[in-house]
Amino acid sequence: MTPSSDPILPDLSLHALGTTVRAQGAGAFAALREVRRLEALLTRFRPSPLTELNARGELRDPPADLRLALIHALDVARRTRGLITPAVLGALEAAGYTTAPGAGPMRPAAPVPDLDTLAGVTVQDDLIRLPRGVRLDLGGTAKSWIAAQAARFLSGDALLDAGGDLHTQFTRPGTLGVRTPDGSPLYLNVGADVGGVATSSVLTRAWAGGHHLIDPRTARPATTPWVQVTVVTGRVTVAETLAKVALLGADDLLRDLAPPGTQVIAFDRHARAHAWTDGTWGRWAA
Amino acid sequence: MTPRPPARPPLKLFDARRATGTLLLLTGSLSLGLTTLWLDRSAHASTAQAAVQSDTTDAWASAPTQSGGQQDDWQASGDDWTQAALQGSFDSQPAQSARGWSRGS
Repeated sequence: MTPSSDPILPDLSLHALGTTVRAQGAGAFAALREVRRLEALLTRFRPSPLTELNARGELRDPPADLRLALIHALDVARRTRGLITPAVLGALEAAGYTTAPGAGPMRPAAPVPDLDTLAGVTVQDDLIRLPRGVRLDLGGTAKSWIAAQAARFLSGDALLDAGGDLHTQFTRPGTLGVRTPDGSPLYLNVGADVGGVATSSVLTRAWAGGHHLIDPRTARPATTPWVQVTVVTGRVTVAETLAKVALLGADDLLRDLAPPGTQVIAFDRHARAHAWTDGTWGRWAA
Repeated sequence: MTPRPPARPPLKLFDARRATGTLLLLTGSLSLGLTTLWLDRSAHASTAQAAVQSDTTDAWASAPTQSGGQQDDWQASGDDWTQAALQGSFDSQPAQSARGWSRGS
């Protein structure tokens, strides 16, 4: 962990979840420790309860947090009508995302199990069991879920940044920045409140011929109308889901799911910004 | 003339003095053992507590967590999807220095 130079506000960061995670505020140390603990349970990149579950198809006496993270992922899959699903591991690997983005050879698409199949997942206190052919990757939901869980250790004026998915609990108005595709300045001035901000992009975790965002309808890296989407709403878990929904171009779903007051800003391939206002997209200008 | 061997003292089945000594010895050993065990455990407990404290001695880490009205508010929410959106506005100018950056990762 690397302490900042700010002598007043605790501000710590570490490398986790394949990115940089930062906690700011009282309880920052404990929050980052929780990130590490949860990552060890949910990662697919080194031996973990999740990899054991995928290998065996079932896991007896699973860690409670694996159950909760899986329940969250299944809930997101149901709400998004299967668009954001944890059952994409086979498709990710077929696209070349094995031990790292693009590390594996591209193979024929592996079909993504549908919602009916996912309904056969058993999640009990003493057992998780997967239907035949279902293997899980929690990367689509785990980052913000871990951020929300770790943020429980923060108190007072605080921020938890899980690789750009932000849980905020500001006791005074604050400013957040958004990294734009072309580096142009974009800021978000927010009030004193609890909230979530998340950005999803096909420009990161990308490789020649692919990226990490799978479209379950094609089982291939998605062809998206945008290259990057940022969502501001009440909770970071919701923001991460909506950012992916918007990035996949599922506007009807975005309209149905976005809590009132949710703000969305998207960038097209020419780095032009578009804002989602009253259920429709329009060019955004400061 | 062969001297007669000294007469053996009659064999006692129960020697009260020896039994008392043995009992005192056993009692003392037991007391000493238990005292040592107790002191050792206390020492270990103190060490463990000190280790925990040293791990969280930083002011921010030892601060009480999961307390305060605001945090309880968001933790108590049953459904994240019904929570009101964070109030704010996008701008090309920051109102103050950015506290964090949202980005794809």
